[in-house]
Amino acid sequence: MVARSILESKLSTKSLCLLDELVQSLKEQDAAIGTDTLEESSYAYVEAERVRLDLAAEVLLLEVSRIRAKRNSFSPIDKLPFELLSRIFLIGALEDIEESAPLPSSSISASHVCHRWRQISLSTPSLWTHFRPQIRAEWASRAQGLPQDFLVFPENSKLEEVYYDCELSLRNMRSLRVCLRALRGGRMAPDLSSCMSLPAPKLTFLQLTGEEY
Amino acid sequence: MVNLVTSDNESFTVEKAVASRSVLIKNMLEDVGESDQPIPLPNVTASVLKKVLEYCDHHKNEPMPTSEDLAAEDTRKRTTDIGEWDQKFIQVDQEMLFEIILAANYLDIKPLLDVGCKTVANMIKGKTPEEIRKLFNIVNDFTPEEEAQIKKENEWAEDR
Repeated sequence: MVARSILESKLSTKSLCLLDELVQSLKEQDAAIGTDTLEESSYAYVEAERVRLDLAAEVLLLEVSRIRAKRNSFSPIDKLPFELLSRIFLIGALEDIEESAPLPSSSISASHVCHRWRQISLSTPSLWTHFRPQIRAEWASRAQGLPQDFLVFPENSKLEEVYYDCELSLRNMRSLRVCLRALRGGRMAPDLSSCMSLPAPKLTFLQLTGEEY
Repeated sequence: MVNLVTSDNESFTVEKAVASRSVLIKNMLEDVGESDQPIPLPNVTASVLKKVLEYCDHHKNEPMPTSEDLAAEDTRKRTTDIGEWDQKFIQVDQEMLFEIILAANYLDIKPLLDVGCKTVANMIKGKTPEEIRKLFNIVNDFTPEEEAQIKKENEWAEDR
């Protein structure tokens, strides 16, 4: 909690007055919405007050977000325009793909930093081409149909599903990485040859990796 | 020699080979031909241009990236490797780092822009959103609605 004295030294008298008035008025009963005619113990009164205060809190929280966004505009990194930040985020996204990360973690992190970064991440489809059969459709759909970088960890999914997804996705696949690095207990590596007979016109990269368990 | 004038009115006289690392300046020089006219750079301050020219001077004898190089840039290449000299060169405070990136973008010096962007990408790599906020002095300004959505996304990430 900020001490009152600090607030007084940093905010203008006008801001301070208006802020006090606003907070006070939100806490008080508001004659305009008519609760003053209701009996204080009545159900209708209690309900109306709850709704009113919830609404007031929501409005204030929204304003807090806006004030914080304004504050962020004074951070040095805010100087970078949309296209340069999305270019930076793309470097992380491509690394996740190269390293066969199970999720588009860099893109997810970038989209969880602040409002502006989220807006940039969500409107940069190339950050979301990372695809696994298990990935949330909500993330995959952010790629807006761009060719996918398909990753398969067969041990984590039913092989039939992998085949199915693979076949379905081949037409729009940019890269395919099949990792068998944690294949347990003598399970057979999947035979993907059946999918390989289908056309993959956009495929530019194929990687099959395996390690002895 | 080429004469460059910064936004804060400082002038720099440099070799043509150095100035031409900037595609913007290179094109300007080709357009105007031989001329002693100074080239104004209204988007770059002296302190930033000094740094950018240091980079251009160091790399002046290297071949310029061709359009093929630019096109070949995709998932095949390791994206975050930076040369040793470049790494030292880019060890500056955040404010200067972002200014260099902006200047490289404006002056169209692709390799320098890459070094800058990769450096920022490396700073972000592997960090949580909270750590990233701390690093860049950003506060969480999400609306309650966005916050709820992010919470949901974090749950998705858990049960992948």
